[in-house]
Amino acid sequence: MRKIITTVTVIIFALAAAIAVILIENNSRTPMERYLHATGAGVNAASNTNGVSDGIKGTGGASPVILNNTHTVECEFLNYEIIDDADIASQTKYKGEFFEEGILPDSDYAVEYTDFQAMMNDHPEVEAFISSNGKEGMTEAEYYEFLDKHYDEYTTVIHPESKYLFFRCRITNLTDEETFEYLSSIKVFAMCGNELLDIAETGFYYDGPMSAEDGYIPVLSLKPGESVECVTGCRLTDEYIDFSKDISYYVGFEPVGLDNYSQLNPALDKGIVAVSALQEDLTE
Amino acid sequence: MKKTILAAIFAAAIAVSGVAGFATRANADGTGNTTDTEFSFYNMNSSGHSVGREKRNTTKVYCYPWYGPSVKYNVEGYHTATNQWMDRSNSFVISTGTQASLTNYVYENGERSARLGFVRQSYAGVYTRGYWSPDSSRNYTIFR
Repeated sequence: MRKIITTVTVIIFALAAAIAVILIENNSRTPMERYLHATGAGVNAASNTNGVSDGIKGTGGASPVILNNTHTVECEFLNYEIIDDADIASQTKYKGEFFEEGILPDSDYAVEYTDFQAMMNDHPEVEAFISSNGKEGMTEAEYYEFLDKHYDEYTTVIHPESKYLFFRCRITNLTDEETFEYLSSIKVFAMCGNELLDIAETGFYYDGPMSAEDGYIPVLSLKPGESVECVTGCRLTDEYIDFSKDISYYVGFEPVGLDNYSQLNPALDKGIVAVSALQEDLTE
Repeated sequence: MKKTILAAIFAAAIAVSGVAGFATRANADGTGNTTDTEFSFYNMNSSGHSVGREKRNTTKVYCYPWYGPSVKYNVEGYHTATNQWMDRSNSFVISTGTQASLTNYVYENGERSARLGFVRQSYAGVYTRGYWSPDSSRNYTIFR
């Protein structure tokens, strides 16, 4: 009987000691470390420049979460909104100062479009020059002389039908060192079925803190463990997208080591999420 | 310590670039993708490439390797019709410390994504690092 009591007592003390150790260890970690331990992500930057990224999706909550290719930065998508170019100049939610050019885009903005394909079709020497990267057909001086004479014949001013995509994100530095993230590394992929139509970098609109005081460089600097909530956006045009078709949009970090975009598989690549899976921002 | 030094250098480069005519977002014609982003290439690999970026006009690609062994670079454009990256420039060995403007024909070929291709010149267990932008607001040392 005495032996049983002694054995049970030892077991109880051993369990209590184990629980105490776990509690002490847990409380010694920062909240960020406890989160990373729970999700299995690394605390220190992982060098992954030659492999395919395997960003982790959030397992809890409604906002999808992805990691950048080096697993140093996490991007949680809180919501999104798509605005047509007819409405972009009259909306008041996204301020002009945060757009690329510092003003609201013009709903009827115009760009010069030069039809190089028609130029090459009409002038075989130009086609030979361009397709040989400047080695055949004509000299570089002759090419620029040709452009001086004929550029206007093949150039028109058009208004491209456009859509503006905005993403409210929470971006977090997962490491124990200061890190930088280019907003342009968050991209939007426009697809029709399995066909990639176009890619746009976000940062065309960005209302978060800037890493530099001079110029408008959408680089986000984060201290260890720091989180920043911001809106980043892009513009897609009808140069390669027929908006009348059923277009699917995906947003995230371009996978490292992707040899060509036909390998992009948004259903499997965890660094990219479907925009349709995000919460739509319906606020005015 | 090394990352802290590199981060400080990077921050200084960013600060300088806004003033000294480095690629920034607000370029002369307001449309080029002239923001500098980093590239790196591990010199134990025989070749590699950067991620693709938007190419918005016919200007030269800016490439500035600031650290590591010399590498041979070229510019590639993504041909969506064939889902292939195509060589759209000649190949150039650019020494570390050279700000290079690379003549290319990505935009003329109707391609709207560009990337840098890398070919190793010397085998080494170190990275070559630098900055690049698909478009430029000015020219530096021109490579044709």
